Amino acid sequence: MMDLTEAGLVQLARRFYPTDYPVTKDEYDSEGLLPFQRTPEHARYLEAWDKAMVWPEWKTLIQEMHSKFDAIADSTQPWVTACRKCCVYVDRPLPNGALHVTRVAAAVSVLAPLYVTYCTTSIIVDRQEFDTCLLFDFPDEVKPHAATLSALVERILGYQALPLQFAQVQVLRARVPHVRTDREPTLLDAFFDSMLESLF
Amino acid sequence: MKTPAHLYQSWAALLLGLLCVCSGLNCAKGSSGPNAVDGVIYPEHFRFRVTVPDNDQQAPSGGWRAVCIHAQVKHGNSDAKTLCKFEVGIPLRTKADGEIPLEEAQFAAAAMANRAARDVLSRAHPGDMYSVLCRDFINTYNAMLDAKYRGALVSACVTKGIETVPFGYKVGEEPVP
Repeated sequence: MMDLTEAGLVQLARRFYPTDYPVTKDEYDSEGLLPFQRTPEHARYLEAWDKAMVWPEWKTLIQEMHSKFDAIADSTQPWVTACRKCCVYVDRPLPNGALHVTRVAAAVSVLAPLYVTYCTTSIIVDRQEFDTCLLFDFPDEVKPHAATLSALVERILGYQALPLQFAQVQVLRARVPHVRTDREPTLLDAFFDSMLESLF
Repeated sequence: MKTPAHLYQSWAALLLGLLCVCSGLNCAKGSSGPNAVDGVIYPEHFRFRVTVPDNDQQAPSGGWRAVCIHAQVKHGNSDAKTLCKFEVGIPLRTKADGEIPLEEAQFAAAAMANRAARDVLSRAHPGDMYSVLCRDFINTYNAMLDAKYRGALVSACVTKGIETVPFGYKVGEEPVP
């Protein structure tokens, strides 16, 4: 088990994201790379993804999710976020052919043995999905799904949950590429994603 | 680094060149201000490679494909050039869309690139840094593509093993083939 402290987590995140490489200094070098892409931190990030893409326990997790739930999926966006994602679908038909979809998800970091569970709700009508909400507090009807998913992640991957009080701790001046605005990245961004709701 | 005026014009021309896609893919030329502009990004530029196969047919969604586009603009016969590299990733199948055929993904990727370019250009100023304009383009494009296909993502190029597709043209003289 990791010793989870704010300072320790920030230090760990900095192993994968270099400091003081702002977008404003971006300029491709002769090999076509940006300055931050030439750092040892970025090399560690890529190495972590190489391992995460051939991760036998991840396949086991997906298989076991199939045995526990009616509808699940691997929703990983490889290399362009810092986590693998999986989710359980809970559908509720609405009038006029619309569908209320709840996705109970686990984001599993490829950089550290940490995960977060959360859920999204949205409406699907005629192939269009809208009104998406991201929640860390689960509605009562999906709390059992979340508990089962957490238990699977912990048992199969040996991961532990990121305490949510650390989620918004900033990693000042770190270049986290998937944070797309000028705001400071957080631990949630660094270990997982800045768009956790982006589940397909 | 600030963008010199002529590079700003080149960047603007690149974005305007992309606009041709939105107007029906028949347009092969566009122009901006005093510069003649040739070049267009077509769906065929988006030569996606599957990085996560969609082999779990029990699942409502799955799979991933990605391509890296190197958009380069040269200004006339000078050595000046601007570059914006971006990676486009689109799921193979989503809950809302079901299977997304390759041709549909390619067309949407091209059309959205066009719209994003127009959006960014409308906010650009001659003193803007092209690195920031490139990031703004990526962000705008990402939001549009995610609205079309939930989970789709535009980012800096990072994925190993995908195809890199150069998209280049010149401003002020004959286009690069």
